[in-house]
Amino acid sequence: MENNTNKEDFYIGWQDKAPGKFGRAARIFALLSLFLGAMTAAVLVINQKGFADSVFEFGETTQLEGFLTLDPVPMLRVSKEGRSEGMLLVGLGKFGSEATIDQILKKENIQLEQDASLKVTLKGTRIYHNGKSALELTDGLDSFVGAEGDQLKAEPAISSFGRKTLSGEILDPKCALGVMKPGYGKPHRSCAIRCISGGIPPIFRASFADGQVLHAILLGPKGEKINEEVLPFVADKVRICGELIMQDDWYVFKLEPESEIIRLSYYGAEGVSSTCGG
Amino acid sequence: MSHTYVPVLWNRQKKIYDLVLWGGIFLFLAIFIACQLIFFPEITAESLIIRATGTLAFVMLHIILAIGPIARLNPVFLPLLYNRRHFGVSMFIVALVHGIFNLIQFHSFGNSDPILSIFTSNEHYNSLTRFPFQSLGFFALLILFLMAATSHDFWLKNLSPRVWKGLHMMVYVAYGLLIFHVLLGVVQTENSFFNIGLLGIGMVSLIGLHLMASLQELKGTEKPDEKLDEDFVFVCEWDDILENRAKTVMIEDQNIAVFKYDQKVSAVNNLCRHQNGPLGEGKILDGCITCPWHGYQYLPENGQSPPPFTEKVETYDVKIIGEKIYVNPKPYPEGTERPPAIYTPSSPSSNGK
Ligand code: HEM
Ligand code: FES
Repeated sequence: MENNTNKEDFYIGWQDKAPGKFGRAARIFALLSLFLGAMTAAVLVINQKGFADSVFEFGETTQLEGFLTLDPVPMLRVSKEGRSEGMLLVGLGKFGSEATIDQILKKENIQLEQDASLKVTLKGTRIYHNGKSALELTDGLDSFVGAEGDQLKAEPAISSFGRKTLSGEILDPKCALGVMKPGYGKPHRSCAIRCISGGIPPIFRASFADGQVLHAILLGPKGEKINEEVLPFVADKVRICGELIMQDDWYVFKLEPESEIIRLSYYGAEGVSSTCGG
Repeated sequence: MSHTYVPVLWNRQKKIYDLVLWGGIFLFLAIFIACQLIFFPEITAESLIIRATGTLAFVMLHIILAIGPIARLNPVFLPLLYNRRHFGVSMFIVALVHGIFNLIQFHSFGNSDPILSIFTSNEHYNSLTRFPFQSLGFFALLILFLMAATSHDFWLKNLSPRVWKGLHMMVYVAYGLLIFHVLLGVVQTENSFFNIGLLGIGMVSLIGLHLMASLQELKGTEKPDEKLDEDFVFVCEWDDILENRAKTVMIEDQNIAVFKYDQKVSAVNNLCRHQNGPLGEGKILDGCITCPWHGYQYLPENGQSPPPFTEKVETYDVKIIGEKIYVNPKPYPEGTERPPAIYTPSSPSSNGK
């Protein structure tokens, strides 16, 4: 039978030192928890799907000279390695660039036509991925450094691929091109919704079986903004029908009038096909 | 300092506990970040923080929930239980970092209030796969916050142990919310075998441990029905209880701990007034029934905590006839003095009525 003074087998929290076997149990538990925790961390990280090698030059603004145009969406056309490259203009945070550009133009007393372009110098944060890039007007009104000359008529090179069906995701280009990783899929959906409802032009991303990715600026039948209309479908796998156009270096996709955006299953194949409807 | 609650003391055990706990937290984060930088360095810093802290908080929650049943299965693990609230508060802090970074990254700097945006940006509440899983994380975080904020014994006393216990049982609601937060969130993109597999292993282990502990408790608490007369029910033989220990019985919804000490037997309600700890699994130390969970003490004869403390439990009448111990399951009000039954080898004795 046990006696009263033997406290070896009973530990109470306010005792300063736990008897041996309690200490041992706690040590075993701590080591086991640490081991299992470390394994969990390693296994989960190593089995991630990976991230795009996209870049957001956070904290670093660059001054760029180019042509400001509003068609099909606000862009700065810069020349890069002898080619003209359209950088999508986006605002700070989860906003499009239109408000900022409007303010800049008003302040500079410039009336920029929809189909015109104006030589300007802008300062902003570069975002780029896979040959496509965007510029965040990080400093608001101060993003405008200066303009040069009169506005010219923009003469974009346009070619149409005709009616197409695209299967893929509607995304906000700011995040998809580099601000966030992953900048697509379920975890990112609400952020993409915020960005697109804040005026950032939606883009359609279709990835092909061979790893190629098509990014197309998504517009309404007449080239109008359709940010509000696409919100319920953002970051979901969908199929859309319309006209696929190449405008300079950007694909533009104009939704067919009255055509529906059709939700696909999570595992549905992405890509382009020439049939529409059905 | 008030005598109405026992202040949380800062002893050596707790310092070691916290040291190991936070050492573990930093080690986990270091391993997570190191693996990330080796295998997928392209990740953004925000995503890395979000993933590392989210995963860590969830792992910690599993450990916290495992401690309860493990300590019930084997009392050598009781010290872990005693200091568990530090673990809980630490977990809340880690989860808060995850929540705040998510709020900043995904919902701030836009055209909506960030908190509102958690609920209104994705509105597919009627779809399972499209469900706005962030809202589940938000409510889980809210529960964890309430628990962390009320974790001090001061609140236990002020809210009453019943309300406090109820609030802290909400941790299981939080756990359920988080299972779906992960299942409908990150698993929808990072849907690897390991992701789902680990989630499943975690759930099955926790449910298994809880079932095992309940089963053992069911077996440990007997429901005797052999009656001596109208009032007294047979508990066990004298030799079935160790000196200074108890036998726990459940009679007519009364959870009774029958203690044996100094050739005597006394019965008190089994539920400690601190956090419903099982007094019957405790021990008599220095003449007091000592709760195995946090060491609250009660005198066996009257169920009262020795002064200056004021906790009281119900008492019961006991009888010893020969080698047999009997108890009357009708409780006396908390703290009522009842004389112990005295054991005289092979001669009947009772505290009578
Ligand atoms: C306001 C509250 C919360 C919000 C807005 C939130 C949001 C999110 C988001 C957006 C993700 C996906 C991140 C990714 O792509 O990696 C995520 C993942 C996760 N969350 Fe939360 N969460 C919240 C609270 C919590 C809490 C309280 C816990 C656990 C204690 C938790 C545990 C996790 C885990 C384990 C993951 C998966 C790992 C990861 O990817 O981060 N979350 N959460
Ligand atoms: S439950 Fe905390 S001391 Fe009994």
